[in-house]
Amino acid sequence: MRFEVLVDKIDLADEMEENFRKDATGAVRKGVDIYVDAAKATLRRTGSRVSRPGEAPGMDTGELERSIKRGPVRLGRDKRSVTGQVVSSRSYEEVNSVEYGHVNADGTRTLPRPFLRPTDEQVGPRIAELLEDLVA
Amino acid sequence: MMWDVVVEAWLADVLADTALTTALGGAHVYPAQSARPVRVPSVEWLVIVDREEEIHNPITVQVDYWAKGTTLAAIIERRLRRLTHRDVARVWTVDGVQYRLWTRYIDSRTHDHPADPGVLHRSLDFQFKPLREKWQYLKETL
Repeated sequence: MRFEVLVDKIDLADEMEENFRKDATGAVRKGVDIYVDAAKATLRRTGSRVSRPGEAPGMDTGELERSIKRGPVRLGRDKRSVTGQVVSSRSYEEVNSVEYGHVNADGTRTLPRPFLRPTDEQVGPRIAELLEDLVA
Repeated sequence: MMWDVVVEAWLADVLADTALTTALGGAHVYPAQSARPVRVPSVEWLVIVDREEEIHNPITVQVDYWAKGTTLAAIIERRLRRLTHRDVARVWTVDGVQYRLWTRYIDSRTHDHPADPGVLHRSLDFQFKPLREKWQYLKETL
């Protein structure tokens, strides 16, 4: 998951642009934090029981929840964009198979236990509002 | 959102499409189940986002399909998108009640299918957003 604020279309004076970058960095950081908190809350919703297909995965060791963190918030090379990331130290395949499900080599199934898409649905509009306020 | 009603209406549309059922070799559209081995070709669906606390919230449905070869996969995916995605609202009538929805394509991805080489497994996300309930709610609260 990545949030990006572009300064491209705004013709600001240098000192104003500098302030805008600071505000944009703060807003992106806040947006990422909102997402991380919401993703963790979605994961905790099922608790330790075995999850049903279509709901967030049940918690066993809590490793997936702990692995979700705020990644670096960076200023773009052209200094006209700010990017933030939500990262997980778990492998892409592992998170992917939990979120979307898959069929294994022996034909057995792992049905989707989505936790990222419900999080998008829940906090996406709130984060968009936060970033829109920045340019309002 | 009343997912049972809208998914039923969507399924009726999908199963009535002869181009799709011909490509699938029959009415092979199922709810996703881990107990049943995957049939190739087939389509499966699963409601993955359903915030039940508000009636006018949208639901997201993940539609998976399996097909041997890209030619057949393209036919199946094209039909699924054409039957489900709309740029504007659509109306489904179920048991005499009209449901106005915006059904739209959100995202898609390709998965590995190590159990059977040459089989393409893709999943598509569609969002079913009720418009009628929302409009009524707004009208009643104004």
